Amino acid sequence: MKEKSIEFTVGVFVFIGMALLGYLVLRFGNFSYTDKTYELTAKFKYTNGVIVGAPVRCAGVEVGKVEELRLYEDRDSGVDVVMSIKQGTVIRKDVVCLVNSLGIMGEKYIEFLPQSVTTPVLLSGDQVRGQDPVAMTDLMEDGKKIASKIDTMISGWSDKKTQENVKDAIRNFKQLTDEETQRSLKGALSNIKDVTGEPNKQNLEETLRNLREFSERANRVTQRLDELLENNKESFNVIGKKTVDLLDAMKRVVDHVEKGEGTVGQLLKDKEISTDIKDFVKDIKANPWKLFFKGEEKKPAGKGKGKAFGIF
Amino acid sequence: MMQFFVQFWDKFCFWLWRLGGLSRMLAQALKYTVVNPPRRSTILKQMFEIGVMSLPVVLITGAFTGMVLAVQSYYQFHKITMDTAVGIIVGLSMTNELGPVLTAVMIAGRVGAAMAAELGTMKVTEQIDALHALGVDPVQYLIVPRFIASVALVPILTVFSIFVGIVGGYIIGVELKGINATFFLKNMLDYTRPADLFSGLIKTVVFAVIVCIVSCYEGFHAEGGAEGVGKATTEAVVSSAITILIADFFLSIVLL
Amino acid sequence: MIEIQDVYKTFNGVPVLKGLNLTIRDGETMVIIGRSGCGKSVLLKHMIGLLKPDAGRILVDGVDIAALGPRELMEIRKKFGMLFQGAALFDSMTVAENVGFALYEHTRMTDQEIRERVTLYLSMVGMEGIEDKKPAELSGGMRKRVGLARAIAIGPQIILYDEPTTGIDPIMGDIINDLILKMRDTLSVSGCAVTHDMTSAYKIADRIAMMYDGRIVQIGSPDEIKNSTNPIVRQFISGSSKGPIKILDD
Ligand SMILES: Nc1ncnc2c1ncn2[C@@H]1O[C@H](COP(=O)(O)OP(=O)(O)O)[C@@H](O)[C@H]1O
Ligand SMILES: [Mg+2]
Repeated sequence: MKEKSIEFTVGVFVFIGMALLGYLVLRFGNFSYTDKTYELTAKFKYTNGVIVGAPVRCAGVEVGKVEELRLYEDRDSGVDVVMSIKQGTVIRKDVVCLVNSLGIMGEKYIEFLPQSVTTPVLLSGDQVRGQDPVAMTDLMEDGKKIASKIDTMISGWSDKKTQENVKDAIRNFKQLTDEETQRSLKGALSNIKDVTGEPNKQNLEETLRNLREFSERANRVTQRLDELLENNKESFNVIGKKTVDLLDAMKRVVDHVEKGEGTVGQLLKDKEISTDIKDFVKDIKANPWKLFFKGEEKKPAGKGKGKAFGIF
Repeated sequence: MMQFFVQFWDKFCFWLWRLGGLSRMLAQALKYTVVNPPRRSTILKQMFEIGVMSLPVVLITGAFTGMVLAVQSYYQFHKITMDTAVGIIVGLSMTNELGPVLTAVMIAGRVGAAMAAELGTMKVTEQIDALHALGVDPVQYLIVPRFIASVALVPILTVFSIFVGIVGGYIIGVELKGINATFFLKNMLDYTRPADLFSGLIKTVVFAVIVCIVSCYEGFHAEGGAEGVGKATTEAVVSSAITILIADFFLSIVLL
Repeated sequence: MIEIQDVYKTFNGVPVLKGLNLTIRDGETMVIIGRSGCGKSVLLKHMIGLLKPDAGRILVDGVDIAALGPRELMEIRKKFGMLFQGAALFDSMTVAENVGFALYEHTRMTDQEIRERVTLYLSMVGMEGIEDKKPAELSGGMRKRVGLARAIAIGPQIILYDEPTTGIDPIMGDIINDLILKMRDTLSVSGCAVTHDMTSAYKIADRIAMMYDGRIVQIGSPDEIKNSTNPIVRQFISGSSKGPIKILDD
């Protein structure tokens, strides 16, 4: 009796264990492709690490798996990727076949991208030409280039010449905003008031206001730039925006000055200032990068740099 | 220096001697298993002791291993927003590595110790001699039923351990940490193949052989009363556990 | 008949048997006396092949058991019944399973037949009615008697008794002595007992052999031993601390 109960308990134990084992095997087995399949071969020059058993997808839907990888060498050399595809999956002759990466872990799988709906359907044993994936080495090369660009840019910041450049610009601003200039400007303007008649007055007053505004803004920008020079920590974005603001303001002033060339030009007694401003503004307009980058570089922030910024 | 070398050499020779004894015992156990298997009732008794009675400890170990795996890997994967990879870690580690190894180590602690203590006591109280005197081979009578029961039932215990480990990992990952259940399971099932399960079970069979033979050997070579039995028991557990881990290393290389 | 010829045995560099010679004739009970630790148990284990001599021969009915393989040895052992010093009952089994062990393992008897035989042997040693007890529930004397029942159940031609009366009270010791005599008279088996209990030795022995320093120093009838002139034997049987016997503190 006792032996019988031991026997029974052991039996129950083994039974449950076997049942669990069977269940786990079935679950881990993924026996979804045990149904009928047909075979396709894709010819690749380079497969970037596709392995046997890797999934095959058609327009993103899993339709099969890689059965075999064969290195071949006849007229050219490469890899034959033999795949089993679920019966009933329509893949046409003009399909684009490429190696793609899964998720963040980057397992490689074969992707079919269907094109037309008219070309003949591929049958079992047919071959397709695979589009070769970009080799990792190429990607690395790209990455290196980008990295070196970023490097140049950042090192440019601490570069002496750039700093000189920026300082120059700031000095120009300062000249504009320094008190004597302002006074002389004011004097000149009041003279203009006297000389010119009513019709011009409004125009002039506006110009003056703009100039004052500008000088104020310039002052603020200068301060900002000073800070920037002291600690380069300020982000590109802020500087960019400030520069745009500054340029806008300048543009408005210059527009006015240019409009009133005849009158205001004459009235600005200090010709030098006038040309200075004009030149500077023109220069900044044409080459805003001068504020930040090396003086020698003729071509301002090209495509590469734009891309680089795009990354951040 | 010379003294050290001589001592080392003696140790090494002793070790070789033990290795030889273990191999001989294994060979005898295998031979008797095939040639002259013991009675069903003796095997059943051992199966009950080794299999059924070990179930609670194996279930607890397995469940907590799975849960710890889930918690630990969750914190790492969560940082890189790969939460669903927890399923892979739990599935693969439990089937292939931690399920088999921890089950075997627990079996070494529970069953191996019991074997060494029981056989050791029989040795020091001359019961082994009595078996000889009664015309019965102690290896055949005492070791083979334990051997058969271990090899047959430790893998089943491992299956239990794997199962509850995965369930534990699922509960922690999905219920507690809120990982998407579908992806958790999909990843786990995609990355864990039946081959992993089988390689885990092959390991387990080897571990079962190790625990049984090492523990029985230690018991058979116990000497000097209760103290000797205690030493043999300790030695059985320690040697089994170390041998399991070393064997696991090599098996992992071979089976991957 | 057991002939022990020039047997040597050394444990870890310590010689225990040093060229020992002894013959046990059919039908007699030989008692080997000697100090504790002199190697009496070792000698008994050699007779049944549990230990192998480093040198020398042990002939059992003319077969050198030292040269036998495990399988033949197993067969030879069925000629022996052995009562171990501590009885060595299998403590995972009941008394009945212990006594019936050899029958269960070596014969095709049914459980019922074995059960009957077990009852018979137990009644021979005066222990009927304890079939379903575990050894742990028995006293030392009861264990020895169960051990004796187990030894005779195999149907032996020679019974080896390792200190059958040691560790039990004198009355129980005498009961066991009577049992040993009964075995010789009713089953007509030879016996070899090892003891340092002189009362027991005189009572059960046909011949007594005194073992000392790895050899037999004198062999003879109980009367011859009682009146021995050998100083070693004299010191031992009189139980004196003074004499030629080396007393080593080990
Ligand atoms: N298996 C063994 N290994 C090592 N030494 C042993 C072994 N068996 C017996 N001895 C040693 O042999 C000596 C004799 O022991 P034993 O025959 O048991 O003495 P006794 O005469 O009291 O029965 C003791 O010193 C014991 O330590
Ligand atoms: Mg003894």
